[in-house]
Amino acid sequence: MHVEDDGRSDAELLAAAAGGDGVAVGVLVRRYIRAATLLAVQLMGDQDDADDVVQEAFTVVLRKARRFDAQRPFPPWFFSIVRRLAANKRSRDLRRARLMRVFGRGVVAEQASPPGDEALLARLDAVAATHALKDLSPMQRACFDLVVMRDLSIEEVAVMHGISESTVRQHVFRARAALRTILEDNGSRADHEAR
Amino acid sequence: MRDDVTNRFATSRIRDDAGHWDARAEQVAADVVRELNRGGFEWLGNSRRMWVAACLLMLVALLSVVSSGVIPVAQGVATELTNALAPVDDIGRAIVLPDRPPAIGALLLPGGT
Repeated sequence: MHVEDDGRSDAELLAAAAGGDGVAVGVLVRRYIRAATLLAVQLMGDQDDADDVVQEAFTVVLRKARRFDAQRPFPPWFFSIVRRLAANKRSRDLRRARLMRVFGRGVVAEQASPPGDEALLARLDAVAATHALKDLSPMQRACFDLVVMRDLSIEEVAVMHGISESTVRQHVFRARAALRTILEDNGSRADHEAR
Repeated sequence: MRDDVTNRFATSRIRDDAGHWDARAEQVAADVVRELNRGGFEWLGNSRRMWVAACLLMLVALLSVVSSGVIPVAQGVATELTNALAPVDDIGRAIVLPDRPPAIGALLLPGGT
């Protein structure tokens, strides 16, 4: 069943959800699940872990709904909960992995390196693009990913990661510049080889 | 809040279409509502903070029982138990039963106290 967004504000939805309105829960979850999942995936590096974090975040939000100040915007509060839960889960997982190593009871999977940016890979030499993305700082990569690849706005990404809009803008600008340099280098190399 | 997560992973492998998010939202909303409707004791089982609070409450209850005079009953039971488990010989009983240490004479001279 698809839940239609009924246009109520976040605060109204939250209050209704806290009062047991299941439709309000559905609308609120639908409104934020995409951004929350993308953020959690960026923080956790694993979709299953990210899904767990997102579900827990919505549960925490609804459990604490009465404490939410309706005069303040909902997204910063919500995304700060997502970030905190992700950080807690990661440190728990790291501790567990360390223990597993110490006791030699299991093999700890290495975390995969960040995959390449698919749209750019289509235009760039794959190896060069992968290197270019790796050369970006984690936050540059994250902001580029959300703004350029996922079409989220600068404002949304700033709230999601808890940083200022100008910082997001700067990260995206630098990421674009770095990738453009790679693109141009590749282009000139191809021209040179053609001659 | 300081964010300790230093890696930022790309999301390129995540499915991103409206149908997918509708389905996910529906599933998450149902799970969240179920979670919120669960009984208090189940929630207690999943919450470390609630466990600590429950342990503290039990400790306070125990202390209040001890200080409210219920303890003599427990002491009576303990005395009966000590009597029942005490050795049968005089020296053993002299060591175990009295409140204060036994007299040297009681230990050296069987039958003497």
